[in-house]
Amino acid sequence: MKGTYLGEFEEIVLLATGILDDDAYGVTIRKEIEKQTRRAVNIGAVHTALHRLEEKGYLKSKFGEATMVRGGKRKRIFTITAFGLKALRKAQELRSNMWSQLSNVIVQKS
Amino acid sequence: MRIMKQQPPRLAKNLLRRFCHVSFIEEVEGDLDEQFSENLKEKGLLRARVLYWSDVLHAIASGNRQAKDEPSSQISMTDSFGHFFKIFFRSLRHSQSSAIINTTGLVLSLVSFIAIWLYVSDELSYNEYHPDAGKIYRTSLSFKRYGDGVTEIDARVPGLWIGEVREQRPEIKSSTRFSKFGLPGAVKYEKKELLFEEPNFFWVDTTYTDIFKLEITRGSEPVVVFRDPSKVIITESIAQKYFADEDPIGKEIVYSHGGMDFPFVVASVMKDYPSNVHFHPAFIASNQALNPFWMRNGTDRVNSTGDPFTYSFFKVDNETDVPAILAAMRPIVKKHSNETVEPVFTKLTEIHFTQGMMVELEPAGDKSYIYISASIGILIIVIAAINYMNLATARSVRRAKEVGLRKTLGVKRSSLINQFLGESMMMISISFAIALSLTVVVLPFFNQLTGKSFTYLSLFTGNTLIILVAVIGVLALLSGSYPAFYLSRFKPIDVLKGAVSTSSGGENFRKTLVVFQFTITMALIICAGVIRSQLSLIHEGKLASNTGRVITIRNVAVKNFHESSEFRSLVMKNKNVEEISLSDHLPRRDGFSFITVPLSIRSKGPDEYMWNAVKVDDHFAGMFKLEFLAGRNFSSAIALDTTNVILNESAVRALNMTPEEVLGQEISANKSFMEDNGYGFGKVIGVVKDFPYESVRFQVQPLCLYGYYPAAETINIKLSGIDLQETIASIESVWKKIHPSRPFEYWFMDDEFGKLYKQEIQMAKLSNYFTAFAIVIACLGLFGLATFTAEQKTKEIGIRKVLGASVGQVLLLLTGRFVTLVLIASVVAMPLAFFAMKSWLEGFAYRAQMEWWVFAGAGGVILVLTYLTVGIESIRAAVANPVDSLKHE
Repeated sequence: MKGTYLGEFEEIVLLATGILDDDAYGVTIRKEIEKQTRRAVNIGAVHTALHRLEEKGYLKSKFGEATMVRGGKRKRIFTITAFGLKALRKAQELRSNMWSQLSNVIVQKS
Repeated sequence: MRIMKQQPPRLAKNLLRRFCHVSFIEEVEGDLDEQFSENLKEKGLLRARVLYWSDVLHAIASGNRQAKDEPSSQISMTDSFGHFFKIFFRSLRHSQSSAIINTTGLVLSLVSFIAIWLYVSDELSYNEYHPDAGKIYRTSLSFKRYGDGVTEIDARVPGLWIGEVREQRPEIKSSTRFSKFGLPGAVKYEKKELLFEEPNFFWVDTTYTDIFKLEITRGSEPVVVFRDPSKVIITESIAQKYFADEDPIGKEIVYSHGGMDFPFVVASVMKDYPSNVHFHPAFIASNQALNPFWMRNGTDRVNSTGDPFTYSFFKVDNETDVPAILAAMRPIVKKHSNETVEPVFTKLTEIHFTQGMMVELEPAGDKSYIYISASIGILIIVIAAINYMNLATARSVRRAKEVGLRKTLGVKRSSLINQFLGESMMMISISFAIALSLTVVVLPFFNQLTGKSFTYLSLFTGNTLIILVAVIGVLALLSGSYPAFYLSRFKPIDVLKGAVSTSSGGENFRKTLVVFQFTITMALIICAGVIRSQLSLIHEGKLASNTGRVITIRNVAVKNFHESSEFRSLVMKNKNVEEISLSDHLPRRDGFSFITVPLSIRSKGPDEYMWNAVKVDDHFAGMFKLEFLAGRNFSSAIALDTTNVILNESAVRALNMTPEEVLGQEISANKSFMEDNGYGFGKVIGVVKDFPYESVRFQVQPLCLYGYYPAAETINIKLSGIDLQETIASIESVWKKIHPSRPFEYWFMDDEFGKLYKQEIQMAKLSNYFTAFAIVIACLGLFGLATFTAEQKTKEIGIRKVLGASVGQVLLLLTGRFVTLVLIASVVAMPLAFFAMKSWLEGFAYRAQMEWWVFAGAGGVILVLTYLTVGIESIRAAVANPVDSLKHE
């Protein structure tokens, strides 16, 4: 097991999946990330991150409907799990906690 | 048309399908397609295509990475596991007969192996019961015999020696001594009027437990007991014998020896020592207890500098200190005795296999028996492994199709190898489980055979289980390897076309294995035969042709001619008593009394001869049918005969005289032996032919029969064999009348001689059983192989019969090949067995001839068995109606 560490990109993918709610699959997630971060993201990187997150138990997936535009191939719809939410919250807490300490220093310096 | 053009690039898509892992392909391909169509709308065809390419490449790169640790490979593991069992049980069901043959053979061989392993490891672990046995040494002394200068080793040393060494060498951490009489003493428990002869009364130092283990189950600590000379420790079995269900603690017993009584109070009960300890005390008491008794010539026998009366042991921390201790001991030994005496150290763990010591506590073991047993164990396993290999390769034709089909469906060779190895592992594990439980069932019988005391717990002690598991692993690998590597090599196309029906290579291999098997079996039969004939030589070499009917009673050392003649006349009244005579204990045994006496012949000058001496009466020669070469027997009418002697042939030869010349020679014993032992000054009155009075392992030694019979140790009574119990009871009542205070303890002379050959008899029994096992296992394999051959040749036989072959001819065809194999095997086995047995027999002074018929018989037995096993199947095949076998297609 790779452990439960949440990388930066993984965090973003996880957040994007959460935002998209029940329409989160490869293409939409990539679009969402590009929209939010304004940087180009590779679809392969998104797939990798998605599967790794699923392996860690932060995401679960099921096959969605197939459409013409997809050449008759089904989507894999990802949804965030309770465990995934918890991991996100932890990451946020960590940051805000560290932020609170950082701001003191900065305040004193400025 | 336009739609076609707007498709993603085909090459990229194929690449994706080729390289992306199968479990991701659907979603990835879909996502990429969707992305493409979006890009197409927003960015134009060219850019969409470029982006698609880049996405594909990225997906492949990441997709492959994902595939490495993806979960589906685990599923296939459990799948193949289930698959393995399915195939295994299917193939079992398919060939039930060979499965039964295999398991029976394996179970039999494993049971033999386990039993032999237990025996061998027990023999090799002698004395390990005592903690740090590897650091405990016994001091003995070697000396040159009077007269002929032969070196002998007495297991004991004088009691004070060990203390003197210990003062000089601080490396000796602890030491202890104990003494024991060769002659049993009488133990009485008056309350129940019990009276037994007890040979295993041990007289010990208070330091006994510093060296030896002693597990007290109830009562006081050993050290406390040993400090009080009126207390005794008894074993659990003795407690049972004397007191049954009563509490033994505090009971009073009386030990009598040499006409003196010593009362003891039972203070504790100890666990009996296991069988693999070289001495087994039944009673242990302080060596101070008999102080008044063993004062001899004013000195205490236990604490003496010149009387070797104690078994002395010491313990060191470092084995490297031992040479220094030995060097320190030497001058002490020389100081107290003469120049020829040397100290000898024996490690406690090695005492059991150290042969040739005088006054040894228990008979030493023979390492060659360990080697023989171990090789039998291994050979039996090999025979069973060969069965497995043979049957598996023979069945390979049937399984060849399976292999071909599975290979066609893409099964790799490695997984086929795993399958076959796994199957042999399964077979052997199942057999092992059965064998283990069967062993537990037959253990009591095995114990009876070997005189050991194994329980099912013995299977789990030490490294027994580890060794067994290792053996099973090797066995599985050995027996599974040939089928695994041979079968898995088949080319599917050949197999499915039917080209690999009988490969000559496999056939030859099987033949070689069968020859090997028969060689082993035949060699075992020959060895068992030779061991048997050596034993029957021992049997014939007994003192009388019917020692089984001679009972022996411990004589009372009263110098009263009247009492013994009264006993004689009363006993002889019983019509079932044929003869009665007095003699020293026979066979001659260490520690029972003086064995060898220094003698000198007057006409030969002052030279001393160290000869065996046995005191007998005038009926002895008649009872044991001794043949006189010259002179006459003792006579009760001639008073001087109590000091006269009769010599045996070997003694006469040693003097370089003829029997006639020896008559009338004056012979006298060394002064130190004259005291009142009956060895005095007398004349030679007769010469008898050599007769066996010791183990046939040794050449008959010169012997001097003394006529001073009242001091003889035993009374021998020959019975007619009718109403044995009744006769013995009547003798007992006579005994009680004449010697009311002495226990009536008797034994059969046969058993006493038997004890000399305990190991040989055990070995013969063991080798008989295991040879029988080997034969059964080998025959099982042969039967399987014959069945298979007959089956293979069904069509051939059918056609031959249609063309006019008789049943006899068909039989010959089927059995002939096996007979050739047996013949080849005998050519190999006979010289092998011959040389093995020759070296074994060299350990005996008197050897059985290796008769030609033992060899021929072994060959014959194998041949007959081969015909029987092969014949049953062959006859069935031969008499079968050819129509049945030919209409199959």
